[in-house]
This record gives sequence, structure tokens and C-alpha cells, in this order.
Amino acid sequence: MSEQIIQALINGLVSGSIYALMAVGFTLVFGIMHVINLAHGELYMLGGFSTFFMVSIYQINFFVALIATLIIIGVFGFFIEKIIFKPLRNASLLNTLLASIGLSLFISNLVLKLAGSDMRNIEFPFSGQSISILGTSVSVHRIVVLLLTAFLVCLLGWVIKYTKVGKALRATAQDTDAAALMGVNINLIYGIIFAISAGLAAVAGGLIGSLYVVDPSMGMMPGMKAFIIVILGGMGSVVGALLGALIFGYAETFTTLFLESSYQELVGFIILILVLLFKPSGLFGGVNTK
Amino acid sequence: MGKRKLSLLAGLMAFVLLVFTGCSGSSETGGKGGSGDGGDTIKIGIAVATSGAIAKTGQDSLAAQRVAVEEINESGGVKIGDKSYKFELVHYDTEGKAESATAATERLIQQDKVMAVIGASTSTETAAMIPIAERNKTPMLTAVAAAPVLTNMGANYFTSASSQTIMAIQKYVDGMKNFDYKKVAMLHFNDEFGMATAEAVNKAFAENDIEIVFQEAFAPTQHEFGTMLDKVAATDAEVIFAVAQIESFVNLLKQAKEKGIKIPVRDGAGGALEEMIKILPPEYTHGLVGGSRSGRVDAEDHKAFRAKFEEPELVNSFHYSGRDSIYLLKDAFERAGSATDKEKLQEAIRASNFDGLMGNYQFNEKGENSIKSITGIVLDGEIHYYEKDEDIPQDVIDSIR
Amino acid sequence: MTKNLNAKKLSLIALCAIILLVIPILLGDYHVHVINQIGIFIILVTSLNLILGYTGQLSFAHIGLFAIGAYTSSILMMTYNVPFLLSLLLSMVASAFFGLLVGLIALRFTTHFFAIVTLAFGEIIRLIIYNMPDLTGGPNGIYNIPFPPNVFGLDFSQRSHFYYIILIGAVATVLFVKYMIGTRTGKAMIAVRENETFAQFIGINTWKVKMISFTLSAALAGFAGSIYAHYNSYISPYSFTMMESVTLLLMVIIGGVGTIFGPILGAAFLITLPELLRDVNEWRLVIFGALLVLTIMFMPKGLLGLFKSIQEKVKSSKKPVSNIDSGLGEEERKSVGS
Repeated sequence: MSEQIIQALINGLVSGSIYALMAVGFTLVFGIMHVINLAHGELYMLGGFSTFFMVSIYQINFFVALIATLIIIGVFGFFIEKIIFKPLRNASLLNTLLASIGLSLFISNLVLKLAGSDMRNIEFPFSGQSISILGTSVSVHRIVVLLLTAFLVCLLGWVIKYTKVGKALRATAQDTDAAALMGVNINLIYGIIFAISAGLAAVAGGLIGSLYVVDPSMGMMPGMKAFIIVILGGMGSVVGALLGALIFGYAETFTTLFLESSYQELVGFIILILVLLFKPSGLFGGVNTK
Repeated sequence: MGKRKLSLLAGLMAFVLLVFTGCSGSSETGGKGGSGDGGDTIKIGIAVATSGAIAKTGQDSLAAQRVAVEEINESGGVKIGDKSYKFELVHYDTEGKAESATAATERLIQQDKVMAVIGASTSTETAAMIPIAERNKTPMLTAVAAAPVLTNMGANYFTSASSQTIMAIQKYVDGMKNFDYKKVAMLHFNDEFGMATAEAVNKAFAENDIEIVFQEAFAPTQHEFGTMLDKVAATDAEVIFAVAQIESFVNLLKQAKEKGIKIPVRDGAGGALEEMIKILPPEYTHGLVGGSRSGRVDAEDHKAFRAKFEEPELVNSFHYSGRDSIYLLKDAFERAGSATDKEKLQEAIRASNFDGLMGNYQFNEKGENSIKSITGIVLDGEIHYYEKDEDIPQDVIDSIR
Repeated sequence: MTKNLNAKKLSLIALCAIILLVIPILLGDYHVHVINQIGIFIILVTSLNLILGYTGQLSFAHIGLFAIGAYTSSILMMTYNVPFLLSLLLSMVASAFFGLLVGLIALRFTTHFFAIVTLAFGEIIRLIIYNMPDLTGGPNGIYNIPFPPNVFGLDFSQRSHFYYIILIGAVATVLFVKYMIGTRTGKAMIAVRENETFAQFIGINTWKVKMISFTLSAALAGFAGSIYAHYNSYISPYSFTMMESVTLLLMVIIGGVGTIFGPILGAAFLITLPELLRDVNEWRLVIFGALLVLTIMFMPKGLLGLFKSIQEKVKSSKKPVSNIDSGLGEEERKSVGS
């Protein structure tokens, strides 16, 4: 049993870290742009496909493909913001949310039409290898996913904290009008935020695509889960998103360990409601809940 | 204010009426089937999902149905009496949703005036369509959806031409005996198909002294199986028996291998081994045993049929199933001796004794078929098939156990 | 002058009534089926509009309450042989009861927190239905649900006859909601939507108003659910998913939120459009998605808003029509941030 618990601790961490990559981008877009982007999951799916095509068709190294995916989908995200969300900047939260649902339908069905519904496997360099941690064997694949995620999250933290772009981001998040007055190019910043968010989701898609398989409908659930995690952690809070992701990853893992896999979803929703009952604005949400 | 709204409403209704009457007019005269040469046609309706999360099976079976119709039309069509008819397919997407499926069925029967409907992809869609077929006394077949609930509804006009789980149960028992497995870990879907199979398997295994040492249900949307597999590894199970559709099965198998789980994984859904070896590299699929529902894919008929596709290696059991459904109808029409009598057609379908690619189709009073699946074993990325009375070589068994 | 107007109005009403009454005679079963689906969704979406459009609360739990109505009615009629009208009534009571329970918890939240909590409840209801096979058939659903008994020579197993039940249901629901928002409570709901703090300030018990609105709208959702179940004679948990909730919202928003006619337009539009696109099968959902984005980008006030602005341009009127924004206005957006 103790071995199973150690395994579960690691599994939960891996699931949580993937959710974190999704949730951090989601919460950035919400916190700064006030857009609930339900097409987030489709960007993740596009990341999976982009990685697959580079690795399996063009035989590019997995990690190089991930970086390329980050950039390609990031640029794609930048243009999505410019084409769809910029004109909707003064629309209500609900309208942008519904527009993002339309976008999600459009992207997923377009990919389905163009690439077909076949499932695809991304070949991973160290698949099948495992190392021993605390007496239990853990696959190298999962460790790599974990480390990469941690690295990306730290990198993002560094960018936000110490770079010029990061300062502009924080200024915009605090007060858009004041930031604009101080000479921050708000349009550019919004594009960059969306690009970062899309890029992170795409990397998550590539990583998960290598753990699981890639198909056009893979984005649906993770996109929705990112939304729930972000609410759990407190909308707009990066730390909250990280914590929410871990809670969710562990809730699912321990539900499987002690109950049964099929209760995962139910447990997730119940945790969400319980957390909100005690902390109505989410774990790290602002005090203002009105 | 009120007046404006009322006129708006009146306008809207007039618009809807116009659009609808316009629609029905165009499709009656349009006749986009384009048989052209004046030969009579018989319309067959297809309602399967070709979009949404479960698009794969529908797309595959539909592609094969189109090929089958082309084959039949080119080789003289359907011969009824001394006349010959051409088949014309009308397909509507059901999206995997019951609402869309019912509307598609109504449209096929009422507006396109099809003689029979083939559908759908999921049991939910199919179950919602059956009352409509029943009410309109229109024969309905399924080539994809396979849950026992469909034939349990007691519909007279519904017949299941897809591979039935219940028929495969004995196969699973034999499979366990062949390999001398006594302890099994069963992982199954918690949907209508998985639950029904799990129940039947539980009963059949118990009668044959095969112990199920671990059993767990999971949602079809689940992708992460790490912890579940750890739980299995902690038991003394000799084999994992997985009742899951390909989407989940691929993930389950991949993760089991990456985890270094030593015991073999066995397919309990009559799933697509052919599909599996295409997606995963040989080291993952080696030793996978499953009930293949494709029939002998190394047979000449299969090869000839596959050759009609651009990518023959992608042809799978849903293609064969779709192809058979059309030929089954052709056979039924010819025996019914009428191109317009749905009741006779229905009787002929139920009285079928038809040899398709998947096997011999005969139906019982509930509309269940008796297709037997054959055993497929994956060795080094290739499937080896064994029919029921064929012995599996001992060295193959040893290499997997 | 007013008399003249009234006469015109009356004749228009009569015209509408006649068109509505003869629809099943003029059209084939397929079209009647589509119109029936529109009718059922008009009931459901109109009830959603009460809480979303008039009270300003974005609820995703509606599909769950709809499911409770459908299951209650089916189970009562099939297992306990309760007559149709009584099952219909009891399914409304059941939905209202569960609506009350959900509301007690969910209405402690506002804006997107309310949205996500109701979304969770909607899913929890579906998952519970899914995991209670003894009562609900689980994933198999319930089949062979009986049609309402025949009256006046109408055989409700026929689409064209069932049409009249749906017609009466839809008209009654729309009139009820129209009446409701004219009452004191209804005006209080609008006050809550416009500015909750201010509503509290002028002495409105906003909690009570929101609870009433939520419970009423739940009861109507149960009504729609019951009709849905007996009309289709088959229900399963797959018809009550999160995506369906989203479709409902789209109907309200695309039609025009917070108006009587908006949801009617929205339901008609969103059910007819995919049907019209059936001929382009494979591109259907791609086009649908794109149209959705374009609709929101260029018609933020919905179809009704579009018609109104066209009308206004034509008339270049002096009196501006009161603009009703969607549930979450600018103010909430601001407070939601930071």
C-alpha cells in the first residue's frame, strides 16, 4: 500500500503539473483581459497536433518540436486575440465567453475535417525507461513532463517579475487605463498575454499528447477543467491556479486510489463547491466577490 | 411595441414556413443522387455521427458504405424480380447527440423517403431513433452501436448488424482457458456498453472458475490510468481484461507498458486490434490478444475490398461492418421481391442467412445477430488470426504469458 | 387612433394564431418534428431567461433541472402509473424543489462564481442520474416512455398531434413569464439585475427575489423536461450535458437576452440553422462555429437587437429603445477583475 501511495503522490503531481500549464495561461487571460476563453482546450489540441506532425512526420527532435510548437501556437494565439477578442474588448464577459465557444467549435471541427478523427501517438525519446525513486519505479517520461512543466512555470514567473514585458503585464493587470497613460501599448500587451497563454496550452498538449494519444476531441475536457481549476484557485491568480491544479490532480488520483475512477468527475465538482462555500472567491481570489 | 413584435413573430413564422417548404421542394426535385440513366433507385438513409468526439466509427463505416453502394451499382444493381435498381445513399450527421439523430431520422424517413435507415454511432442516438423507425414502420439497422439495451427495447423494426458483445462472451471464456488464466483484473467503461459487458463477463467467468480479483469502472472520457494500473499491479492478477473503446484502450495499453506492467492486456470489447497496431509501435502491442470482429482480414474478399480504399492499411472492422450492412440490405431486398414494401423488407432482413465479410448473419426474434468473432493475437506488430476450432500454437502462448 | 391600433394588433394576433394552428396540417412530419423541438426549447429557454435575462444570474444548472423534470415524469408514469397530467405537475414540483436546494447554495455567489457553482450542480445532477441505474436506468436511459393519453380524438403518438401540447405549453410559458415580469416581484428582479446594491438600498429583499426567480425558472424547466420525455419517449443522461447548457445560453444570448421574444428567436434560429446546414454535412459544425463567433462579434445584442437597430435606422426615431445588456454588465466585469 505504501508503494501505491508514493506512486499516487507522483501521479498526482504529474497530472497536477499538466493542469497547471493549462490553468496558468487561462488565468492570465482572465486576470488581465477579463476573457473566459473556453477555446483554451483547442489550443492545447493544436499543440498536440503540431508536436505530432513535427516529431512523427518530419522526424524533428521531441524537445525542439515542443519549442517550435510553443512559438507557432503562440503566434497563432496572438492573431486570434487581434482578430476575435480585440473587437470584443468592450463586450460583456458572457458574450466573449460565448464567442470563445464558437471559436472552439470552429477549430475542433476544422481539425477534424482536415486531419480526420484518427488517434495519433507521439514518439517520446525515453519511452519505456524508468528510474527508481523511494523504492518505487517511476517512468522517465513522467519525470520529464514534471520537470519541463516546473521549468516553464518558473520561466513564466521570472518573465512576469523581472522583465520589462512582465512589468507592463503587471501594470496592465492592476489598472489598464493608468498603464496606457504610462505609455504601455495595451494592444500589444493583450496580444502577448494571449500568445503566452496559447503557447503554454500548446506545450501542455504536446506533453500530454506524448503521454496519451492525440486526437481532435482531446481538448474538450482539459479546457473545461482549466476553467474549474482557475475558479477554484481564484480567478486571475497565478499562484491560485498552480495550487488549484495540484488539488485537482491529487483529488483525481486519490479518488482512484481509495474509491473508484468513475467518481473522479463527481469528486472534482464537490471539492469545487466546498472550497467556494468556505472561500467564496476561490483560494487566492481577491476579496471583492460582487 | 407589441404590434412590432407580433409582426416580427408573424414574419419569422412565415420565413420558417417558406424555408421549409423551399427545402422539401428542392430535395424532391433536385435528386442529387444523379443516377441519370433513368434506372430506378432505392434510397437508403444513413444517420451516423461524422463530427464530434465519436466521429471516427461513423466516418469509417460511412466510407465503406459508399464504396459498397458503388460496387453494387456498377455490377448491375439490386435485382428485384426482372428489374434492377440502384442504391442511393442519403447521409446526415448525428453529432453523437440524440436530438440531432431524431431530426435526421425524421428527415430521412419523411422527406427523403428512404426505404431503410442505418444508424447510429452511439447507443443513445440509436435508442432515440428506434421509436421513430418503429412508428413509421421503417426497417432500421445498426452497423456500429452495439449495446444490448437496443435489442432489449423490443422493437420490431430494429435489427442489430453490429457485433454483439453478448455473443462474444463465450469467446472470452475460451480465451482465458486457452492461456490457462485463473485470476483476472477487469477494467471496464461505466457506460451502457461497458456495464452490460462487465455483468455478462462476471457471470460467465464465475461459471468457469475464473476469478475476477480486481474490477473497476471508469468514464469513457478518462485518459489517465496510472493509479488504476498501480492498483492492478498490487493484486495477483495474471491478465488485465479491458472493456473499453479504442480511444481509452490505446491510452490504457500505452500507460501499462510505460509503467512496466508485466502482465498482458486483453481486449474485451471486440475492439479494433487493426487500429491499435497502427497507432502504437510494436513494442507496446506485442502480446495483445483480442476478439477481432473483422473476420479473416487475410482472406481474398477482404483484400479485394481493402484495395478500393486510398489507404488500404487503414481499413478496420467498422469499414467491414458498414460494407456488410449494405450488402445485407441488397440481399434482403432481392429476397423480399419488392423495392417499395417496407414490411416485406423487414421480414426479409430478419430472415437473413447472409455471408458477409465479418461472418454469417442470422438474427433471432430480438434482432440480435450471431456473428462470431475470431481471436487475434498481435506478435511483433502483426496480427495472427485463429478461428474457434484452430489451436493456438503453444510457443505463441508461452511467449505471451 | 388607439382603437385602430388595437384592431390591427388583434388581427395580427389572429393571423399568428391561425398560422400556428395550421402548421401541422401544412407541413410534413419532419418539419413538424423540428418545430416541436423548437417549441420544447422555447419553454426551456424562456424559463432560463427568467433567471438569466431578467434577474441577471448566469445559470448553468438549468439543464440539470430540465433532466430532473424529464426523469421524474417518466419514472412516475412508468413505475407508479401516475396519470400524465399529475406526473407533469409533480415533475414541476420536483424540479422546483431541487432548484430551491441548488439556489440555497448557489445564490450565495454572484457573477462567474454563481455560473461555475451552477455548472458544477448541473454536472452533479447528471452524474448522479448516470450512477443510479436502478432508478434511472443509468447510462442506458429510460425507453418506451408512454405518450400522453388520447383526448378529443388527438393521438399524441403522432408528431403532428403532439404539436398542440407543445404549442399550448410554449404559449402558456411565454405568457406566464411576460405576466411575471409585470408584477412587483418581476420588477424587483429587473432591479436586482440592473444594480443589486441599489436594489438592496431601496428595500428590496434581493435574496428572496433571486430565490423566487430561480425556483420558478426551475419549475418551468421541469415542465419542459416532462414534455421532452413524453415527446421523445426516450431519455438518457447524454442529453443533459454541459454542452447542452451552453446551447441553451447561446439561444438566449443570440436571440436577445432579457426580452420576451429574444429566446423564441434564439431557439428557432439555433435549431433551424443546423437543420438547414444538413446538406453540407461535414462542414456543418465548422460553419456553425464561425457563424457563432460572427454573431457575437457583430450582433452583441442578439437577433432582436439587430432587428431593432435596423428598424430604428429606418425610422430614425426620436425615442431610444431601452438597451438591455446581457446578464453580466460592465460593472461586474470591472469588479471581477483585479
